[in-house]
Amino acid sequence: MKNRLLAAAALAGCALLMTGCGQKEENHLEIFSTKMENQAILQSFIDEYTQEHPDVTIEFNSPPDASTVLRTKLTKNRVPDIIFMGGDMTFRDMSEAEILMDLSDMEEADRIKDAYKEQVYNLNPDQEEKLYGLPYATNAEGIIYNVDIFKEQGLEIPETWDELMDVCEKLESAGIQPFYFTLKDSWTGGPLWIPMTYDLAGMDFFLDRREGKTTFLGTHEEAAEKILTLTGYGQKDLLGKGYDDGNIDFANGKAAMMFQGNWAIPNIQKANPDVNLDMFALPVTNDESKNAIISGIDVMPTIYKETKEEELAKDFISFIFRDDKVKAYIEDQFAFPSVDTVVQDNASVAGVAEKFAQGNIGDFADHYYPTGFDFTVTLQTFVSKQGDVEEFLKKLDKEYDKYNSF
Amino acid sequence: MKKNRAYMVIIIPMLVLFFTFHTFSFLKGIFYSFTDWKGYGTWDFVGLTNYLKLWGDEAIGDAYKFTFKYAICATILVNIISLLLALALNAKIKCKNALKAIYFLPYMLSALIVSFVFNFIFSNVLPDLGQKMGIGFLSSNILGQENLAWIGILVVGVWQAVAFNTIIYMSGLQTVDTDIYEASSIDGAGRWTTFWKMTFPLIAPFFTINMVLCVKNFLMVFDQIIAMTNGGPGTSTQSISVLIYKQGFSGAQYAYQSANAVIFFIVIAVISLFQTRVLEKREA
Repeated sequence: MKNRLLAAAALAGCALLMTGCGQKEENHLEIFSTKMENQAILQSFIDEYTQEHPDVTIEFNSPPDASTVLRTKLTKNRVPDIIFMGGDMTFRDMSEAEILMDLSDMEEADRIKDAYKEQVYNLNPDQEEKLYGLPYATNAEGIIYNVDIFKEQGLEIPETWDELMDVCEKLESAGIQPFYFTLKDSWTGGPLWIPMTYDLAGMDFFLDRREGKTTFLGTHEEAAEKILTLTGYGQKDLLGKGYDDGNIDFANGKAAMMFQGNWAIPNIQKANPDVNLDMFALPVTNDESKNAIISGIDVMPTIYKETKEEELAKDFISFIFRDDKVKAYIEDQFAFPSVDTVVQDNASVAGVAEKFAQGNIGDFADHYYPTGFDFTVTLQTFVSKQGDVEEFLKKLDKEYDKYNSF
Repeated sequence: MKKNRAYMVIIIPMLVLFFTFHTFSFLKGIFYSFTDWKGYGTWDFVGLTNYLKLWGDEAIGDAYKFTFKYAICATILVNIISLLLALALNAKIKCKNALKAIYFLPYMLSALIVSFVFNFIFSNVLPDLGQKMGIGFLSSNILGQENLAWIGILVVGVWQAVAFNTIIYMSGLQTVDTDIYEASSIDGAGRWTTFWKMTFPLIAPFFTINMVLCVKNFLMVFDQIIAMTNGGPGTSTQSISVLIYKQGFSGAQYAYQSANAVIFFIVIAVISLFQTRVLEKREA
């Protein structure tokens, strides 16, 4: 009896192991995604695809803490055929590890806006001009404003720094708080810093800084001063509220503007479905053409270099790049398309549409920072103390160097 | 022989589980602390480099300062409060059992949930109250102030830890024979003398346990911080455990922070041993 039980247990164990290392079937794709918010819409694309191709089976994974899961999959050498990721450090590490296929010669690559292709190149080692992923959907970071308050006060979207200061003054004299900050969550300082550093220091700075050719000290004084000015127009208790609490207050009209990205819009509208929101780019300088909208690659499919299903994987990517699919995706996610043939026309993001049309698009500085360097923590201290600019920039340099040398 | 087999059946699975999920991971951590592994990809042995780097690291120094400040304050507060509570609950009062249950409640709640509740109180309830009553330091969220945030975390940590220590002190008080109180009152000892000369020495072993447990638990403070400040504002409430977790996983410093964890383990072990030695001597 006992032996039989043991045998049964052993069999069950073997069966478990077998499923782990079984032969890959024909026409089978494993798809992995690092973003949980778009799980439902990607799943619906997969369902449509398998309906069109009944002989294909697709396994889809979109776990929490996906980049850690992905990294463990890599160490075990079990790489999914298609991986969806953002244009971020995970992508940079994968590109450096040379495990992704060059997709530059796919037809879809020609339809992608140059600004986003540049962003992919910049993430490659030595800025090599190869597309190891095809940018699919992008995000935007700027100022979200309450349309009703702006209308009541007769205010226009500011295009320059001086106009923005003017808007703040007018709001303050009308007794309305211009900005709402949620800096208890340090990451929400990102939308404040990133447009500043892009417009005032620029892409060259990001790349030079990595090689140690320049420092924050001496290049970012204006950015730091301007951040102090802007936080001066916020609530007194700058670190009092976090992202979720702050969004509720903002939805209920506690302030006119907020530094955030398009991803915050559904969250704010959840707290008050009647609130009218729109976005504009932070006008960092008085030269309109210099004030870019910060937009980065949010979702980008990549293919594993050694996949056995190259054709199938490419076909699936072509499928989701069809115009009607892209449209469905950006409507579901309040995202922006990477291709020229589709336009995001939702009123909640209309204010930034012009910048996209002009191609005046800036990249996220933090995608070029070394892994582990968290500027938002340093920024949080600086802002809460309304501190010394030089000390702040020196601290940033010190931290940057520490992580860059790891 | 048969009996032995029964023991084996019970012990071996536990031993295997404990070894694979606890001891093995621990040994692996020590192993990786001698490499330059990022948590993925390839790695090489780097000898003691990680350990040498630890000494000059400001972030680690700050984390140790915060953690010890927190652990010392919390240990003192918890022991005073829970001893007082235990004395009160051990006295002849009404609804004794109901009160005991109520005071034990915080221990049964998850640290994360308690922290989220307090987080809400600190960011919404207290500032409103402070503004209405005109109390300066309360009128803004104390978790958002670099010099005060640690107090918010201290309050939550103490509030929750008191429950368990009270139970230990209460069981200690119940071991004391009531006859000795009669004897001491006949000898004319007052309440204070009775407590200090009779009760406290008799519950000294329980004091030892509480001190050791408190220090160890508070040195490893983690959940409350993650839920309330995530180490902020700035890095003012970054405890050692939080630092190891944050930089080890998201900062790609897996091996380096493993070295930090090994050192931290040694520190805690030494402190615990030292405490037991000293306090046990005092008991005798």
